[in-house]
Amino acid sequence: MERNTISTKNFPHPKHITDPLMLKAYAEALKQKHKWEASINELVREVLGLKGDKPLDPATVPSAEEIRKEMNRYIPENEKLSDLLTAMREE
Amino acid sequence: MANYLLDALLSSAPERVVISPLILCETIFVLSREHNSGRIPVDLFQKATARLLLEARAMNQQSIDNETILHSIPLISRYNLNASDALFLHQALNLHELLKTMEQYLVLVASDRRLLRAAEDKGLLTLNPEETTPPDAEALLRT
Repeated sequence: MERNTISTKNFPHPKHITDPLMLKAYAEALKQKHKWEASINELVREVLGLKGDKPLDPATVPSAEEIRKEMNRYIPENEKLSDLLTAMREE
Repeated sequence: MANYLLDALLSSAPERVVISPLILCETIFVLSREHNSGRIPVDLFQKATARLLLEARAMNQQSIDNETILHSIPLISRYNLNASDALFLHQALNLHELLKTMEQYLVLVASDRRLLRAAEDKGLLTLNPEETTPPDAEALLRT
């Protein structure tokens, strides 16, 4: 279960960075990534109506593939989300 | 193909996918409109929105500030783009310049032909997921 943790798995270990400029850029990028992930976690909690300190468990949210299948029960497959987006922008 | 491409990238290297936060707002607006018009139930709207946000969490995001917005304006008239696409193109061009210094290349993925034409005119590599094959897409994304 994931508890609003911040992932750093895609970042290099700081010990591999020796250039001070790169280290500063790394720290700033990490800070921005933390902020982004925390904001998204908060939003997902709000969307799912999670109250108090109830943990956010992404595994309880169906996968994209499962959602597409369910979506196809209501919206014809030939009506793509990208087309709906384009139409909305052209309105 | 669009789904295949995104799923493959998100499962293998989500940090290589870069989005503008504005696209999240637009996508959720479209989902919300589908829900409000009674086409999809609230439960599906919530799950789809949550999954979209969770996927976006793993991606890199290109932030937007006033300068970014202002610099996107010339692209609107030059390429007859809507405001969102002009902003996305400007953000892509900024990132492209940054990546070039590290010998990395950006591929703009879109299905809107006008945006693709504008991006190509500006020298970006592009990929239309609706018109490419999985091997071609994978080859391009390996560049």
